[in-house]
Amino acid sequence: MRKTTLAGLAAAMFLPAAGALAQDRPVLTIYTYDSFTADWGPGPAIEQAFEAQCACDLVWVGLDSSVGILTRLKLEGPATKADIALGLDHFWSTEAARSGLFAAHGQNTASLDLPGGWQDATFLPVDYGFFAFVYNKEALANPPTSLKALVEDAKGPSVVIQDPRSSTPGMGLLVWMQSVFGEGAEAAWKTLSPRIVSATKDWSEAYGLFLEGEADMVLSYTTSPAYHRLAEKDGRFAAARFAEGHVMQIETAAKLKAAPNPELADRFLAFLLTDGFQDKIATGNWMYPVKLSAGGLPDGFDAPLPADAVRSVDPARIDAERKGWTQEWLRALAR
Amino acid sequence: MLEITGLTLERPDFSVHYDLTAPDGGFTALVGPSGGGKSTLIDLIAGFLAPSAGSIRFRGQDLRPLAPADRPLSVVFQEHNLFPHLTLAQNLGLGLDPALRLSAEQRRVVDDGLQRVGLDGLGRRLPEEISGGQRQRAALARALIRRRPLLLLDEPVSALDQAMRRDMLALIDSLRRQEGLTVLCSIHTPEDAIGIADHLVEIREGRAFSVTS
Amino acid sequence: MAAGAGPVKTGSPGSGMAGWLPGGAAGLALLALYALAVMGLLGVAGGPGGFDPLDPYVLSILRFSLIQAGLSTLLSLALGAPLALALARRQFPGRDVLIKAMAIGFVTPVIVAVLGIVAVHGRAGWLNQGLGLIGLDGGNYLYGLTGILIAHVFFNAPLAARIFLQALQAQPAAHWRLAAGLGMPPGAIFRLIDWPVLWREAPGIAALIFLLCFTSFATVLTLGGGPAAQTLEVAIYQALAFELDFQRALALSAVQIALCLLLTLGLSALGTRPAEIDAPVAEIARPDRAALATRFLDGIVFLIAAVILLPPALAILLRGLSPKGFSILADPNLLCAALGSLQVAIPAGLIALLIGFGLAWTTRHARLSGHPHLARLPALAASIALVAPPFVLAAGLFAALVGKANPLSLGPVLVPLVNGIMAAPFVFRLVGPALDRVGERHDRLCRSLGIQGLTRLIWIDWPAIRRAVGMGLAIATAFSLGDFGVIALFGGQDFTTLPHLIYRLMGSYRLAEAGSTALVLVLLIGLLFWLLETLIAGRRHA
Repeated sequence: MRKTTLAGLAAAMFLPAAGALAQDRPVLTIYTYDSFTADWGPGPAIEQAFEAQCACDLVWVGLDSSVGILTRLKLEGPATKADIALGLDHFWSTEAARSGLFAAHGQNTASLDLPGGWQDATFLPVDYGFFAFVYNKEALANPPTSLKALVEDAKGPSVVIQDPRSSTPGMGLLVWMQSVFGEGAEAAWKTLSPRIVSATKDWSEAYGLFLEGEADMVLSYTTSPAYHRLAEKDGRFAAARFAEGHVMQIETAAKLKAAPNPELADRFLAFLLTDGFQDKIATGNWMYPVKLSAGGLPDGFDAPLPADAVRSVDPARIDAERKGWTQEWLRALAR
Repeated sequence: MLEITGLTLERPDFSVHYDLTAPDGGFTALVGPSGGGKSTLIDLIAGFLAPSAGSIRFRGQDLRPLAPADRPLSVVFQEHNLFPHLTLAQNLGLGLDPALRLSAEQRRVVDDGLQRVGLDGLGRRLPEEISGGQRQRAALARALIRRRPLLLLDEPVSALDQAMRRDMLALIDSLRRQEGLTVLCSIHTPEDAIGIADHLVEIREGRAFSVTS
Repeated sequence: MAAGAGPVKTGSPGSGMAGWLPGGAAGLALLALYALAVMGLLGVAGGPGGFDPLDPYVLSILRFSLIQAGLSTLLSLALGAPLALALARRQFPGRDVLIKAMAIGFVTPVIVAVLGIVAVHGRAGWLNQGLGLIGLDGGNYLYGLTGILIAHVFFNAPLAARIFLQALQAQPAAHWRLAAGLGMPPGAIFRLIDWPVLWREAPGIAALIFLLCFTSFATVLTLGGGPAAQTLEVAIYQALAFELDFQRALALSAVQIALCLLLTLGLSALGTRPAEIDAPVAEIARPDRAALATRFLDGIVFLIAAVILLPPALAILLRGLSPKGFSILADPNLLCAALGSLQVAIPAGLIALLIGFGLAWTTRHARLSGHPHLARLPALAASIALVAPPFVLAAGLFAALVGKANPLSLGPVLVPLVNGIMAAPFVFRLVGPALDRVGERHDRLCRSLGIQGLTRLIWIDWPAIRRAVGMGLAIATAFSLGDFGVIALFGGQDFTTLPHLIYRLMGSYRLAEAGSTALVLVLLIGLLFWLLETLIAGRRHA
């Protein structure tokens, strides 16, 4: 933690990044989302690992959400001091690419342990996860076995989800529903709507509500039960497997065209695909690393879903249809 | 007559101990420095404060066990005697029925009261629409129509200018004679009481000293 | 300005500048900042343009915003007025503390309060558990309009009660003696003394609460439950933070400001006084205390108020005291966040004081020097500051300034600034009436003796207004301590506040720690409140 005093702030306001003056080491500034950089997230360990090999100072700037990173960068424009944006979801790749803010990553993505492989030249995959509805085994004995079942069973479990406009899982569910129901998605939302307890602004609220007992299921990740098992020694939670397959979320990183330290940024991008970074992901971020280290996943961590259980959707299609899908969602839920 | 014997109370600044009598049907003026205890005495007689010892007797009746509204007296304060959102007639009406449900007869009494203090026809006015002197006269009228034999006035003329002070005191005195009231009036400027009061009591440091009788 | 050239009413030459300057400067500063923000947002390449104001979704948001604000206001008044009456009549040990606590409830951070409300009213909450014991199930009634109303009443009924209480207790002591001396029964006392006061104060209080509920953000966000229950403020936030549709954000902000100003102007045209949040409270002895009817009624009112207001507060307390949560106390992040909170809140409080006081000063000067119509302008500025969405201001200023300064350092400057502006209207409403009161009392004397400007402020006004100033500073600072909207835009690892920390803890499944941090936040607010009021306001009264 670096304390900043008010006086120091006033002085530093019109100076270039204070860190660079204070030490002679170059500073790598990474914009990411909050929970990545928290003490209990992967951030601090990654910082240590990278600083050990780069003779530089890694500075995290934690923003309130993945979407928030893009918003902030757009607001800052070419004046930005960010070198790298870490944690942009691939749902927003096309839009982010359109902004013209990002440069090509120049890394080799041929041999990643990522279902479906990776083609994009600007955005580098960092980790991935699968959306799933999580529930408490003691409270819900017979969870639905498919998305259709969840939606169509009028006496089914209540769910808490997230708003697709502000939350990645929310958008993930939107994509999932579109992928499964197609034209019938709006009707499906309407059918599900009475059992939606709340569509919260982001994942943490939704999960908090779920843990409070407000709903039977919460839209989260397949890895959430692993957190409870490993970190809290609590084995009551499970993720429901749906027959139609699960939509993936891939978090990416990219270098800014206006990066003050482009070479350092490149080194970090290379570091990203190495063990030094990737082996902090599983129990740090509770997601799957895109490159498994020799030891594989930690004990107790579920294996990733097999390829046939994954539902992939073209990001370009998501980008084109997103607004329309959101309007549908709004219409269906605004009873 | 009003007999106060050994009336005692501890106040923040001093303790008070009053012994005095006021002649029946007479005009007794209380004079003395500010903060000397004039208001305290009136509050005690009216029943707004409870004494720790002593007695208050009016025409032989012990007033102490009675609630303020049950005592045979009316009080007129220095200001804030009228409720600002009620008309004069309504303010006076409160003296007859504190729930303001007046019969036609009572309304006539109100009009009569206003006339007697020279506020004829002003019944519909609000207090803010008339002068300070007129407001005090309205308060006096309310005390009148209640027909209580003892009238206490706590610096009723201090907020008025000199001409109005003399007029107001003269009015009080004339009403006293007409109704046979016993009047106890605290006053800040003793010279105004000359010629009107027939009994002067000085209140100083919580003690009463008869000056004339 | 108008000092020499204006109509010769009661203006005095020489005091002109000293009178107009503070408010004029504050008003112009606000104007400049808002203009800068708008330009900043327009300057950034917006997302998809094209805003259709008649979009059915927007209309439904508008409709909902009005409905929830209206209902919240009615309910808050319906609980607040009887509560104020009951408090006016009763004396009991701890009454002063309770009344103080009611003011603090107003500045409780929304996150914290929502945690408590969910614990009580949620599907698995106390109420449903209790109902379950007798075989009933309340079901999921919290998310949606019901939850929003519950939260709004929780915040605003005590506020309404406090304002009503001040007014009820402002009767001169002589009136109560009159009532006693005339033998007024309790019914008449209510009809003739209390009710006119309540009726007179209600519009001003209603306007304030309506505006607060209309622009309510975090509550609607967390308890709204989805698109069916969203307000303009939330839609603006969405447009700004996630859809990157700045044109839409600006357009919606304009709609919000216009609507709210219409309401404020309409009410001020009716001649209602702005609700006075704090006024000196005298010791009075009401004669209707002893009556059986009033004792019974007051008892019922206290019971209802306790049932509605106490459980969430209790829940917050209990949740914060869970042993699992205590681990956060040893975490250096907590200290960091607390310091960050203070770094935001104290400058914000001072900024709010400067702006609010400046506006109040000039309002009074305008009134006293014979330009009552000009007195409306500072009040207008304060109203705009109250209803303009803070994130639009923050994001716009950021966009405008980002090219000129290190973006990472802008946050710690903008967050206090925007919070200060948001809190300025409260300082204005607190200090304004106090200034007016002492002004009316001494204005002629001051003018005849030539006492003006700074001298007048220090020697004449200060003793009378220091209570209000202390209260204003306390509220502004407490508000900023608990703020969560603006910090979300700029918070980070280096720059975090307690609400932000709570949010991050919630974001990583660590709810017990979040609860304890919430308790720390509430305690800090309480401490600051007490400190500021005691130091500045002087000796405490009720």
